[in-house]
This record gives sequence, C-alpha cells and structure tokens, in this order.
Amino acid sequence: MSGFSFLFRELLGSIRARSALLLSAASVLVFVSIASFATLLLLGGTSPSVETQRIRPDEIVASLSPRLSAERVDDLYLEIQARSDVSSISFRFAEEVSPGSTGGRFFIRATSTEAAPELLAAVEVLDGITEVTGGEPLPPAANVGLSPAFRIGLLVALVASIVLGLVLAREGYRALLRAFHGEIRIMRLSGTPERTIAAPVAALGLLLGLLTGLLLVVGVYLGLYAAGDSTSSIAELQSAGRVFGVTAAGFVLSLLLGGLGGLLGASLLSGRGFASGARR
Amino acid sequence: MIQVSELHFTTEDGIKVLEDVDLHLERGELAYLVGEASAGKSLLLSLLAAQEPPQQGQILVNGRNVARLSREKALRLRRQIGFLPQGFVPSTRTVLGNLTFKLRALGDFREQAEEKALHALELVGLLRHQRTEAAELSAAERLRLGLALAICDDPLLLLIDDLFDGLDAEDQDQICGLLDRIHERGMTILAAARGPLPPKAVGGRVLELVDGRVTER
Repeated sequence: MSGFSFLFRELLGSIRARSALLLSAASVLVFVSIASFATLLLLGGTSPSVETQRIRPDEIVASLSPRLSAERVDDLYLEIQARSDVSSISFRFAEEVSPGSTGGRFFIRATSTEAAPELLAAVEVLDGITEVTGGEPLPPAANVGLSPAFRIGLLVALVASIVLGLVLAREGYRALLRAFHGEIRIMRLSGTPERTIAAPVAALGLLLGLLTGLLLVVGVYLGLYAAGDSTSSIAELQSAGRVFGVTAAGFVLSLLLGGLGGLLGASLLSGRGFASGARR
Repeated sequence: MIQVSELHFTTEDGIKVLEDVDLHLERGELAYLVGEASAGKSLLLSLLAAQEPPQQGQILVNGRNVARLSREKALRLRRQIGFLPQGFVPSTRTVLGNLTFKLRALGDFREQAEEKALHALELVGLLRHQRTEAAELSAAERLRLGLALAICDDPLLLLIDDLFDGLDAEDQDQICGLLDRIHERGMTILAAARGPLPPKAVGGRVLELVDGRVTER
C-alpha cells in the first residue's frame, strides 16, 4: 500500500499544464454528462399537461366522478353550458390530461375573470362533480416539466459529453504518462509488475470521478436550496427520496466514468510509445 | 550464475541473430562481451535479464530456467538483476531522486531508500552530484547514474549494454576502474561493448559475439 500511495503521489506530481488542462476539461465534460443525467431524471419525467399547468384566471376545471353515466355527463355539460356566465365548455377524459386518472374533466371558461369565482362555486355543488379548481392562476412552479425538444437536447448533451470527455481524458493521460515516462522505464527495468504501474493511473481516474460526483451532490443541494426559496412547489413535486436516488445514481455514474477514463489511461501503458520491451 | 546452452533467436524477418550460443559465467565473475553493432549483444542481454523470453535453448540465471518462469517469477528474477540498457536516459529528477524513486517504487521506505541510494552514489562517484538534475549530467556521469540505478538494490547480477558508448578514452578508463570496484564487492558482471576494449579493461574475461556465436577471446 505504501508503494501504491508513493507512486500515486509521484504520478500526481508529474501533472503538467497540458495534462492538467485536458484532465480538467474531461472532468468538466463528465460533470456536464452527469448533470444532464440528473436533470433528465429529476425534471424530465411526465410533464404536466398544458391544460392543468396553465389555468387562466377565467377558467375552471371540474373533475367528474368516474361512476357517472354518459347521459349524466351530457346533462351536466348542457346544464353548465346553459349558464349565462359560461363562455365555453369542453370535455376531456381524465386519462388524456393526467395519465392513470379516471373519469372526465370539464374545462369551463367564464365570461369574465370576475365571474369565475361565482361560477366555480356554482359548479362545485353540482351532483357528480368531485373537484373544481381554477379561477386563479396556479403558481408558476408547477410548470417544471421539460419539453420533448429540451429532453432530446439533454440526451444529446449526455452522450456527446461522455464521448468527448473520455477522448479528452485519454489525451490527458497520454500527456501525463509522457511526463512520467522516465519513471515508468525505471520501474519496468527493475521488475515492477505492470499492474503496479497501471494502478495509480486507474486510481487517478476514480479520484477525478469522485470529485466530479461530489460537485454534482453540492450542485443539486444548492439548486434545491435556491429553488426552495422562490418556488417551493419544486420540493413538493420532487420527493426527497427521488432527489437522493438520482443524485446517488449520478454520483455512481461519475465514478464509473472516471474509472473508465482511468482504465483508458492505464491501457495506454501497453500501447505504442509506452509499451514495455519485455514480452512478459 | 549464468548458464546458456544452445540458445537460438531468429527475428520476425527470419534473420538468425543468435545461433547455438553457449555461455557460462561463474558467480562473482566479470566478463566483457564484445561484438559489432547489431551482432546481437543487446538481445542476448535482454534474454539474460528476463526482459525477453527465449525462443529456443536454455538460459539458467542463478539456477532458474528463464524460459519456464511464470510472469511473477520472471519479475522476481528481474529484481535480482541490475540491467543498464543501451542508450539509458534517466528520468527528469535529481540524481538522488532517480535512485530513491526506484527504491521506493520497489517498496523501500524513504530513509532506507535514501541510505541505499547515497551508498550507491558514493560507489559510482556521484555523491557530490546528488542534488543535480539528471538532465544536466555529462554522458559519463549519466552512465555512472545508470550504474548506480542498476546496483542500488544490491542485485546478484549486473548486465550492462553498450558500456563505453559515447565516452572518450579517459572516461572509458575511469568506467573500467569503476566496474572493477563494483566487481570487488562480489557482484557478477557482464558488460557488452562495441569495438575494441580500452586498455584498462583487463580485470575480466573477454567474450566475443560473432555471427551469432559467443567465443572466448
């Protein structure tokens, strides 16, 4: 272990400007990838439908009991439509609006914003109506879902940053091993096993992955803290368990990517330029 | 210490570099292996140092058959051999730093490594250069540093390739004297050299590698 920690420190001491730059850039890209990953999992779920997100001040959404017959729904529809303070009404199945829900919804628009509260009170007491919302805008925080285009963009960023990060990491390790070449030669001449030479390189990758993962943990914490002040409903929407799970998954992904980068770096030792002359 | 019999080696291009080589070196013996460039000296030394596996024939180093050694055992044997390859370039450290790096990488603690390193530097006459950057050394001093690196862990066998390469006559004589001093400590030494040996290289056997065969001079 003392040999490993010595070699690890010596390897760190061989980091020069070029390798530092490349490895930092690789770490930033790994961070981008795990941040995209976390964003996709935290905010990229089913986005609330447009109708439920943005209820205008003059709009009311009335939920119907799933046990109502079609005739009763028709009757209710006509009854509400007949009111003088109703400008328009439409019916949609609850499943269309909110997957997994049953029953139906009336989307009712009052003739004016002022008329909406009275209309809401009148609809609320109708037989077969289970819940009525609206008449006032919902808090903007409810609109946390990501658009499909943004989700695709995040996926592309995730893949691209992983690939580019690994390419940069490999170049960073190549520059680092070039600076460490004399030491590698001395170790090989003196019969140091290849795994002893490669282990610190792989460990450096894990360390970079660990640091990047910790950065994600801090970033998520700060993000939630900042969002908690302005839009408390984010915290309501995203349970603590889910945030913890996604952050942990991002952390593990970061470790895996860092470790993979380290292994790529260690694999350079057997490639052209660093290969041992010995065949065993 | 070294027993080579019926050793053959052919390159991928089909060139026979070593052909039926027989060589015997006793423990504590000093021998010079001379031969022209590309005669196969470096290859023979690499085979003896367990850096290359033999194709055909037998190599016994310290009683162990190099061809039959597992990877681990070959590495262990390599640790008992001080090998200074042709065109050795030290790492970009101080003279002392090069030696302590090797020793610490092999598992020595700092104090132990420094003690061994200073002892080796004293033997090769580089003690006053211990804080000098290795890159600033002359060719002869670099060779001395290479020798110090090869012997600092007290190996059983010292193999040196292209011993006098790039040295003037005075440096060659001094290196011969240095080899004699190392030899006096009981180390077995085989040093390969191109062309004629300097007049001071009189302390050991002289072997010649010609047409893939080793003969006594």
